[in-house]
Amino acid sequence: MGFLVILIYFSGSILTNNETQIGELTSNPKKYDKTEVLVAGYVIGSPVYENDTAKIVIESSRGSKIVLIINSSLLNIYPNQDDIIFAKGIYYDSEPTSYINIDLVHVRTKWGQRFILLRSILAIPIIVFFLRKSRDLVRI
Amino acid sequence: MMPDWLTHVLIGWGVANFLVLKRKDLEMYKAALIIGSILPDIWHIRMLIDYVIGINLTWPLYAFHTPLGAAIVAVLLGVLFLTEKYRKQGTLFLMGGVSIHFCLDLMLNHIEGGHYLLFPFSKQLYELKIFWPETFTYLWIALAFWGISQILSKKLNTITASYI
Repeated sequence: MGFLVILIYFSGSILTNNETQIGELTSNPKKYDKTEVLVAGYVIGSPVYENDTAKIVIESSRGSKIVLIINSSLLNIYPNQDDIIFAKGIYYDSEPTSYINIDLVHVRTKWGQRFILLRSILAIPIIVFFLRKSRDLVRI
Repeated sequence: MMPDWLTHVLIGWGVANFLVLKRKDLEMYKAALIIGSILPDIWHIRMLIDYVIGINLTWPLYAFHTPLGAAIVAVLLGVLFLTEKYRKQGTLFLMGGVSIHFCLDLMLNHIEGGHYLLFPFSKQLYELKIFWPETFTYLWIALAFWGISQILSKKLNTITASYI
């Protein structure tokens, strides 16, 4: 059984190479090329609004800074510092600053992120309660 | 990203309540079902490993967040930690919890991706894309489900007590 678990563990490594990871570009865009990409990153600068368009600098997990040009009508909320922006679109590498034109976007607010963690922590007392309640079931 | 553990636990608890409504003798397996409902998320131990020793094990550990990987872990836990008398059913309840976990995860919406339900036989990703994980909608539904199951459980207990 232990062997099977180890086998499963290492087979997970197979997933590593081919799948897209959040924050990574889906492919390595060649220079002066445009590629379909997925990007997720924290908003590290305050949005600047120009003609109903928000320019947001985000930092991908690779550390590269990318300027997102988002039409504010695409968003129901305006992103703030530390929100996570999910963006899908065309990545242009031919400009002085690489940028993405968004065709799909989602904003995960920093409070949204914090609440996920908080709610998970709240579950721990329930688990402990049930573990204590069923001592007959467990042999430790 | 996943639904938070509270949502998983509440749904697991609710399902356990409904099962106990049908068969009172299953009461003691509630814990197994609830633990099972968060069992696939043991892969999040990667964050602790990353924080403490700085090794990123995200993808190797992700195998435990697949139905087959989680089922094997459930069986292993059953064999190692459950008393012999309750081992068989306890393990089944652990696996039931694991199934609930994946049903809930399947409802989520991520910008790209999903869940490797058939791994290692297929690397196809599945997701129904109904709820964003950070929103509260899922939690409210879980709370309502759990609340109804609790009320029904209490009612059944009251009826049983009045007969005794």
